[in-house]
Amino acid sequence: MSEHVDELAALAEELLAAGRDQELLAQLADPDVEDLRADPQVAGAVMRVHGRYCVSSGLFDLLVVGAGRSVVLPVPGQESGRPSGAAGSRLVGLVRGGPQDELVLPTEDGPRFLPRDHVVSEAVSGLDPLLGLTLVRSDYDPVVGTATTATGDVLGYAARLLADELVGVAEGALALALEHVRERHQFGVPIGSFQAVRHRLVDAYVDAEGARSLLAAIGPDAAPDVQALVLKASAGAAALRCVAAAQQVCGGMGFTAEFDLHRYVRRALALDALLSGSEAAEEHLGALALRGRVLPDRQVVLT
Amino acid sequence: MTATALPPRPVTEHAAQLAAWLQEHATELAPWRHRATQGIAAAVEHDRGLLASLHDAGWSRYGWPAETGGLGGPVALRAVLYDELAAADLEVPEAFVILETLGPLLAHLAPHLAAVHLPRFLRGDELWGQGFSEPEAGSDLAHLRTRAVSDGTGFRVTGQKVWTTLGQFASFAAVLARTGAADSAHRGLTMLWVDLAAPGVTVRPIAAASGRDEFAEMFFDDVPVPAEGVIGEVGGGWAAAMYLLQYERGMYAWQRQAVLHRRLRQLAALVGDDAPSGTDVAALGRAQLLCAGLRARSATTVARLSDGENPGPEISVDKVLLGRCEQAVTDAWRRLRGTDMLLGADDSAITGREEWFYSRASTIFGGAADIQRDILADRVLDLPRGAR
Ligand SMILES: Cc1cc2nc3c(=O)[nH]c(=O)nc-3n(C[C@H](O)[C@H](O)[C@H](O)COP(=O)(O)OP(=O)(O)OC[C@H]3O[C@@H](n4cnc5c(N)ncnc54)[C@H](O)[C@@H]3O)c2cc1C
Repeated sequence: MSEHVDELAALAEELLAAGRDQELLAQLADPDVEDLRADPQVAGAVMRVHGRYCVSSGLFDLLVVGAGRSVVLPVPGQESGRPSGAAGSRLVGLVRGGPQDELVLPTEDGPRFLPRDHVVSEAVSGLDPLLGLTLVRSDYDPVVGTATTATGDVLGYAARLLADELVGVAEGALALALEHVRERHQFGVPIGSFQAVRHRLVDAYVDAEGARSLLAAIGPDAAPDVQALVLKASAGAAALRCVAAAQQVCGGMGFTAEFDLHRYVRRALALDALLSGSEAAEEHLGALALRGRVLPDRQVVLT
Repeated sequence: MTATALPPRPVTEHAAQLAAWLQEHATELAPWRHRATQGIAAAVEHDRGLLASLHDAGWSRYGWPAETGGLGGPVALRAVLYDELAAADLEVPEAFVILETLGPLLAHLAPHLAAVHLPRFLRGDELWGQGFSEPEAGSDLAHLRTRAVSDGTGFRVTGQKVWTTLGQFASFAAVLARTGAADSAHRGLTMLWVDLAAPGVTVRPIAAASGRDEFAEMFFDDVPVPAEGVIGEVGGGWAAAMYLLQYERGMYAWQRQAVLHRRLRQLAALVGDDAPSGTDVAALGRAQLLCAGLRARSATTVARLSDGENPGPEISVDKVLLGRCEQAVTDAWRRLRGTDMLLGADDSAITGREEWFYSRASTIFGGAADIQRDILADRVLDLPRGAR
């Protein structure tokens, strides 16, 4: 499988760098490559490139739940499923990109489904317009069904792929910052030669390395809370740290619309917030530990 | 408690067998679940028993070459030992830190010395010191002043070393000394194996801030070192030091992550669910996340070392991650066990305070964190070099 991972990552790189995200989506949606895109390593590698280019596409849904379906994520800070009486009133959650034919709601007792014509959707631009988030509401009760994901667990797998994407965001922001500090001169020297600048970027890089190592070391079959609270939280924290460092070292340039950094800033904040933000995850992890479940403890093994 | 030494097995199988052995001997090993808190000398003495048991049963000899008293097998088998000791709720003897710093150096560059000294160390009969730092040469190690002058057959060493971990208990020390001209910087250094019982050596413990006097200073006044005492090549001291660093930073980080994961388990069990505040609980979660990242990173580093690959400057990532973990874990302890930190007088509080101090030094020894960041900036991120 690993040659396919590199191959697909290279394809994603080539197409996304050229802004041909819809083409990538179409190629991966081909039923002939279903097995390939359902491989967590392939999916992870593609999402990482996706993060590095900060593009908008339906890749996330396609990779998590397959063609024709959307994953419904909880709205951060809000409880989903509150009925209020009015038509299309019950908040179901958030979808990345437009809703597909069938919406998959990950719940603790397994996935539930809603057909698209049972939901009312409203595009939201918010913090990261390019992310293409859509709020979905419904009055119908979702039905039980089976979802085909790589791991059989939608929420954990969604968290894992978000982690991959966040590592990509971290890498993309860092690459932008590194390029900037090598080129930009002040006081007659590149600003990248100032120790404060160098160390700030190194710290961000080290965070990204930690998150990357974790994703490589803990597989998709680890428990859903490990995917969300450990892998995604550590990738989210790394991405936040990388964009913060990048914002500082890019100076005024980083605050222009023309310079791509703001896209990474938006993306890092938005993706971190989905499926439990990294700060909330820390508290959650600590609380679980105090109740006797110390995660992930020794799940990474020597080989 | 002697078990027959078994031939090396694949890493995971080896780990399972060691875990089973540790469980089987849990009662005999129980004294080493806590470290002796009646001062450092008592702790060093106490650890000898565990070292002897692990040596006699063969477990600490795996991953070391047969020519040096080991039982062979990949270096990863050493990493398994540290990990399984901590997993079995035992204190990992501090001697293993020194072993992983100087053992690979001797085994690689001075097998004749390793053949004699490594078995003694593994049995718990001998400790060594790492004599690099000097009062005037810390981060700027290349400008050290201790001199070694050829006396025809060997060398005579004169100078001062400082901060030598467990130096007051050491029988020998690896001393980095200048054999070249005074201005030869890193080019004129040689690594020497110095007998601390030789005439002209004075070793004095340094009273430590933590109350645990874990390091010493060493004075050398025309101390004789025979020709066999040269580790590597004359003038090759810097290369020897660089060789050692991959273990001092890499394998050491693995060893410490094993200990830190145990500390997290201990802390969680000690505090239990008695509703501490959100920020204190988050501090624990943060430490768990950091330690998870370190363990994942470090496992790949151990695999590289085990394959005989030198990870080079990237090893500084492990070192920076480790410093953060050490401090995050002891900060979580300080927050969740604030009364222990402030007032505690029992063994657990004393150990907790000592570890808190130790964690602060983690970003100093083995190359200060800022030096690690410079290495990464220069050699991994390829940033323009600037004035130091
Ligand atoms: C507990 C402990 C155990 C030790 N054990 C040993 C041992 O067994 N053997 C041994 O040889 N040594 C040992 N050491 C010494 C250790 O290696 C040195 O303390 C370390 O290299 C730093 O040197 P220094 O203390 O002289 O600090 P300095 O070199 O004076 O550095 C102090 C601080 O200045 C800053 N700094 C220095 N240079 C730079 C730079 N270029 N860029 C940015 N900032 C900089 C950093 O913040 C640094 O932390 C030990 C130290 C401790 C604390």
